[in-house]
Amino acid sequence: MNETARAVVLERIRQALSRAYLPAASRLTPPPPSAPPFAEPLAAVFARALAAVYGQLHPVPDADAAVAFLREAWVARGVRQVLSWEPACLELPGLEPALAAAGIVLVPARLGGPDRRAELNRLEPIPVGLTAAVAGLARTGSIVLAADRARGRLASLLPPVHYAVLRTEQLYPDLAAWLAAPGVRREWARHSSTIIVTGPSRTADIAQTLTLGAHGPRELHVVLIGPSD
Amino acid sequence: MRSSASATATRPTVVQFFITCLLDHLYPDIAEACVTVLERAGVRVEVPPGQTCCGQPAFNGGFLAEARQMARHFLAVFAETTGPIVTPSGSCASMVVHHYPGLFAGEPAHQARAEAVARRIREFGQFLVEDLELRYVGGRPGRYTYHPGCHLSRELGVRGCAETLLAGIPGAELRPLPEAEACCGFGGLFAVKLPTVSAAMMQRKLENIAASGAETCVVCDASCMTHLNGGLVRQGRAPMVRHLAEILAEVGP
Amino acid sequence: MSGFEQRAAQALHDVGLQQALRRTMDHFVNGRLRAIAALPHGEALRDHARVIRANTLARLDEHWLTFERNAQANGSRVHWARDAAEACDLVVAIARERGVRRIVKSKSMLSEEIALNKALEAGGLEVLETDLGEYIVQLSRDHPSHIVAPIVHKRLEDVAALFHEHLGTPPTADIPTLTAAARAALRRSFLQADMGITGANFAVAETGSIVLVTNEGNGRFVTTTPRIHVALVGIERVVPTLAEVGTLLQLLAASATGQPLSTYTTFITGPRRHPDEDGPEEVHIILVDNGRTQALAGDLAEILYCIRCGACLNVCPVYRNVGGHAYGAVYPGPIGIVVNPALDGLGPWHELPQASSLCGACTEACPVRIDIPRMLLRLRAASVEQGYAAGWLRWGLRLYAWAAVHPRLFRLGGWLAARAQRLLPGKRNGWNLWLPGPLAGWTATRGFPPLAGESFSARWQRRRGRRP
Repeated sequence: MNETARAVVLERIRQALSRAYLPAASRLTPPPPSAPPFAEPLAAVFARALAAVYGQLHPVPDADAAVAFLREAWVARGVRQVLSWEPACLELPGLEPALAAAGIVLVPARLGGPDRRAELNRLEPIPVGLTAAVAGLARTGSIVLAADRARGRLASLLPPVHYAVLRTEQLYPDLAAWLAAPGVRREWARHSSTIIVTGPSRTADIAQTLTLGAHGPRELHVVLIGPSD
Repeated sequence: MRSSASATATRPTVVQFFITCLLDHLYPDIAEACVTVLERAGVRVEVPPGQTCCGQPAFNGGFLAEARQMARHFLAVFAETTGPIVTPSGSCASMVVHHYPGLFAGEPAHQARAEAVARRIREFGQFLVEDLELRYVGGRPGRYTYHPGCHLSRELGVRGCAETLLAGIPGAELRPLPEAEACCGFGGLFAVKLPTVSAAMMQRKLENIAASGAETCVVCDASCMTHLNGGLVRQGRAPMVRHLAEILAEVGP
Repeated sequence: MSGFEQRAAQALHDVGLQQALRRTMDHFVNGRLRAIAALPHGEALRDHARVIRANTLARLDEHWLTFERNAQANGSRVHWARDAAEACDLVVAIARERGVRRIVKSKSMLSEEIALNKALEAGGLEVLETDLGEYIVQLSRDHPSHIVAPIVHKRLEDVAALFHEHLGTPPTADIPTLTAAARAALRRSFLQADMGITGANFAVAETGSIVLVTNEGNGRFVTTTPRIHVALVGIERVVPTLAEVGTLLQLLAASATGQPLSTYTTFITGPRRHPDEDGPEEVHIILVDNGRTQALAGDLAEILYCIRCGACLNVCPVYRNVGGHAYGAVYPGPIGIVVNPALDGLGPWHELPQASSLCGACTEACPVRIDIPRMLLRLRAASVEQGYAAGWLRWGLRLYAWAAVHPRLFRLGGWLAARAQRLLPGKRNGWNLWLPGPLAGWTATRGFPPLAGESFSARWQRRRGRRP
């Protein structure tokens, strides 16, 4: 049945194209205009852009400092559980024991069992989420999250507060630069979801007034690991 | 999207005047003012006889047969002439420049004629500033504001010419117009088919003109002028919208 | 008086709507201007995006075949729908087969176009809109009035009253309270739904991904928590490569909401890969024609370049004055007055192409520079050919054109009209404040100046020998 619809629509397209007037169509699509390189280090551009979209930046010199920062931040918030990617994917050695010592447990973001709803209800009250990022986009202050086994989407979606760990080596000037980077397109199909996150969730539907935290997290914290300049 | 440069590379000395039906029958004094200004600028003006209407109202309404009829007549009137064809209407200029060639898509002879004539069209203010390179051709000091017509600024891409000529008047003050490029609401048959929306647009423009603090609002299109002055008169107010040619002709340099 | 004119008149008298429009339209326009100015080579990027859209449509069938192959390789199911009814039937069938009862939806103009919610409800399925604006539209049994900001026409007081009634919030609740109430109510639904339905801003052929652009996060929930995700995709939405979609995404965010990128740009590339991952178990992509091939087959194909940013609405003097509901169609504003008749024919929509003064502000604002006035002129010509023009206008213009090719008659006509005009009642300082018949629309709010006693050409002819 759908085979018929498919054949009909494709044939309609072919027929239509013989009569279509498409202004600006050309033999080849030329390359896009390239953006001039930034004069400053990407981390500085990223910091400014992230702040402009109400994200919060926490620069730290190395992985150990990142672990210490997270533990302190979460102790201060009174957090006991964190919805998280599998610790191995975070590349923060010593994270689990450091958190355990402070009475904080990492809960994996996954929906493996038969009762999806029950699992979701169990994960819903967790106040903080933790992920790493695949890349950072300096011009827009964005981070990129790619879903995978052990890298659940829910960690960056369900809790009202999201912490993302990013390394300065993972920063790209902008979206175009990252999409063009080697391996990105090749690896694309491994991930059922690739999300470019630019700041915390927001809405302005009611009277065009900005409110943070519509359905996704209302706070986005980026822990940026790298040498400071 | 400008009409291409005038046919002669050197400064033109003779022009053909394309009156427009609106000026011919509603505002002959403004047409007269155009001629005055052009002659002042050292240009001889010829008015090819038999001009009626370029066909824009029919074309905008989708009446292509009638538009073609009028266009063929227009081409017959102007085709045997040479040199720049100057017209004091952005919308009429745009009609010939952008729509005439397409009207004759199936008729190569007419299409070639249309393209040749289209290349010669110059809007009045554009001609004075871009072709004759003038900055001041006359006008009284006063507080002016300028409303750019949509066809002139967007379709023809002519911006800044009227402002240059107004700013060039010694002692004249050119006030900025809030939401300057917003349409006045005339739109041809639109004004009669959707009168309440058209009137709302007009009201907004009149409010902005009042907010500018100008004594006179200058336009390059008599259609905008008719629409806006029409609103002012209906409201018992003075029709303070005037055509650029009138303003420039008032007093010589 | 046309239907549009009636609804427009109503809109102009709606004080609340007028306030809302005054506040929001400039906000959107200024946002877009700032964001485009902030893009490196913004104008060149727009030209480039226009070429991308044109070239993509030029090989539309090839790109969809590539998309289908790659999407299927990722584990997505690809379905095709010739029209609205077939698309709705497909969704209902998928829901039935998989024992779905509760559905959550993310904003999709295409789903409005095919009237999906009505079909789902008729099929005994419970559907909840989750985009905050659409949720409010659903609660108030209303229709969206803008393609990007559905409740531009509602004031804070309207929403507060609505939420007080449905969610029990205090009657004078502020915006954060209202948003929090919606968040709590919708979260329960996200966690309990069996199926999520979205549209798609783009479909990337080279990876078989669909792209969703949102700010709130509801789009992410709808495509993560339920076990089935259904995406409705219009067949003009394909983009060949990731690089090209990157360009379009920047322009979409800048033009729609004045952002460098929207908060969540989500690429969905099939269902989850592993049983213990989160995300849906099934992804269904429904490719919908519903008149797009009809639009593609001629002069109106350019309307398919549209990336649904809404920039044209925000600058259109007609839209700015009357809002979206006056159009009486799924798509309002400049895009709407072309795309509705392009998809469905002029029959139901012949009034719409008249709802424009041809000012061209839309083309100036459009990120891909779609020439809307050109297509309006084509639609108006088609309208006349198909017999929709009013009798008085047809005959009036025929007479006018005939006189215009007989200059002496034209001049005589002008002279006669000037005389007749003087005889009309209701004058002030020579201006007519009343004109008969269909011209009364003019004089309701405007005077008409007196025709000249002697035309300029008569005067010139008379004086011809006077000047050298």
